[in-house]
Amino acid sequence: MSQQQFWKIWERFGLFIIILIGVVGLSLLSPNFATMTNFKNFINQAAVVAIAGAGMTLAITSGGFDLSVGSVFALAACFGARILIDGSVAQSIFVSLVVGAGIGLLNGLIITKLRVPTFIATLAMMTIVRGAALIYTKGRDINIITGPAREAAYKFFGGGYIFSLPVPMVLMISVFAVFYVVLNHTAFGRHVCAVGSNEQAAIYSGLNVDRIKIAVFAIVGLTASIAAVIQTSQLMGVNSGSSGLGFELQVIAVVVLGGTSLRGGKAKLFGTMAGAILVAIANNGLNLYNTPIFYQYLVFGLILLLAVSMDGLKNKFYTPAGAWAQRI
Amino acid sequence: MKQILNKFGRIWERAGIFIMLAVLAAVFAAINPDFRKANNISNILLQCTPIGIAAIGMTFAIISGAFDLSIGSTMALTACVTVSLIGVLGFYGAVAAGLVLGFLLGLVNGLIVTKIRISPFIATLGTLWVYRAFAYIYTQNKPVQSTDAVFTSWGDNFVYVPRLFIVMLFCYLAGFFLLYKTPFGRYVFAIGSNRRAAILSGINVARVTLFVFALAGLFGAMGGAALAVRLWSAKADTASGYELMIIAAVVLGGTSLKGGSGTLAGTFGAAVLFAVIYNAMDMFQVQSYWQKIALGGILLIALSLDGLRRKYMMLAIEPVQSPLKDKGERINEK
Repeated sequence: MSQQQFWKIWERFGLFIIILIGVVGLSLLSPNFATMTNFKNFINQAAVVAIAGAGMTLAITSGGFDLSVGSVFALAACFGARILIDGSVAQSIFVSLVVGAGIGLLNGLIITKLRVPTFIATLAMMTIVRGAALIYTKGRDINIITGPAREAAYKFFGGGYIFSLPVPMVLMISVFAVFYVVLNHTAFGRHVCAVGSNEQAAIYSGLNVDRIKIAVFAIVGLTASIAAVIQTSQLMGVNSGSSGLGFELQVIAVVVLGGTSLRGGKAKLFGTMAGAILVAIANNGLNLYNTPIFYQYLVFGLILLLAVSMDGLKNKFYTPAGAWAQRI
Repeated sequence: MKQILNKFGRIWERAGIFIMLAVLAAVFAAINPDFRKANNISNILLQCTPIGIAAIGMTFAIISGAFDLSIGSTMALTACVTVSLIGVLGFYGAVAAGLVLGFLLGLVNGLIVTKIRISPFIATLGTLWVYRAFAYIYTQNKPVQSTDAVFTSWGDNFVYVPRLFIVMLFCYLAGFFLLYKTPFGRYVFAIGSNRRAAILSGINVARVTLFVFALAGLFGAMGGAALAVRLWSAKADTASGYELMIIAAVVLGGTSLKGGSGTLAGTFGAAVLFAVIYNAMDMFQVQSYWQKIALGGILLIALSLDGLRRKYMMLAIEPVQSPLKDKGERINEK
């Protein structure tokens, strides 16, 4: 196998190969890994990150990113949990999703209409929304204690099964299917890529760049709130101060791990899903051996660095013909 | 009318952060007599030091078109190491060790960026977790403290001015010298404004980038030490989330995230502004939850003013000036 072939295969399947090695290795090492309960554990964890990651993939493809997802996650969870105590499941989920999409919309408006740089706009919204969540709950935990029927119905989203598949996994796959179609088979998807690869050119070719960006950020907020619903349903409670803290960087890291370029214009949607699953497997493996939580940070950072190092080395040693000028 | 607006825009561009600082400080001082007491002012000056010092290195990084997201973790790790070594090396030895460590951590960031060719954002996003984990592993998640007399005395005042603030001033002087008076500083601007042109004109971009990251780590370690002096202790989760606050301060100070333009004075003003706002909110007993909202709101207002100014004066105003350009014009005039 020549080096060219190796890098080509790596580009397409690298992450999946690592996941495969991880799964096989952990199954051999620990008898507790390859069990149905454990599968459910890590797929649930992966689904939360991956679903928010799908939205973030779209944002990064459009050339921006959203630092407020962690706080949006917390606020959507708080509203959902609070409303579930007195209201119905449908109301709770509806409000969660509206809160998420609404804040995303606000992000988009601030970025496009007030011309605040994306980084700063979403950073400011991160602290504002976190503050709002803390004020809304007065800094206390919300534990969902309500009618047993309602509790059971809400638990379905984080712990139920459809055709013996965990619901979070089904939700993850459906979200990614929708995103796949949107990105590859709709005008909107092409426009997002166009804005990401060259905003000026997109403006000149008559796209309404502002509107596209606003839609993208609304979608990011929406996916963050879907992730929040799943998480809340698993925990049956939420803490406004710690829920989703640091989630934004984790989600961005997973998207990057999946191979989406931060320069924008190119999405690697299923890479994001693979990245989330890989991180979940690594964390799960560490949990099985009862390592302290901070070793997860170490492994997470190292996985990210190693994965993108391979990418960096690929660019150094293997460049498709005609691309040499972009190497510097 | 348009002319007045343009003129105002120009002034705002150069000194906006100081105007904001002066207006806010004047308003707070007028409303609350406690705010203008000497004690409180020295308190503000003390509060701004950790972020203020760490932001120097970040200004270099952002001007060169890079980022250092690992700065908060660097601060935590170096602060933990510094405090834990005071018993062994004495305070000055421990600080020196912390600075060396910070320099090395920055160097590692730089090597990852230049040798493995990972974009700065991603590379430092990875080391953010790695360095933080090192801090946890090093301290085993227990706070480290010291009651060393020299260590605690650095939190004192020197005639109303906190000694740490004087250290910060010296750091800024060193930063000014490096950024505006050396070829290195000019290379930083050159790389930030056009990387390719910098490479083609013979600048060793990789080496300059490496040094920029090392510098960010060094000032990060200095900021970490300042934080430890303020708190008399350090913990593995110290300074978490500081990376974003520091970047916000640099941007609020007028440095463009696109690279190539920015000022250290602006960063200085923004760091003091943050401290003033926090202090005032404490003074007016704003609940800590509302403080988050206020801080985000101020950030949004300040930058949307800037964004709107750009939007409406795009044609009337020159692009943001860098000292490079200033220098070029002056040479032409001669």
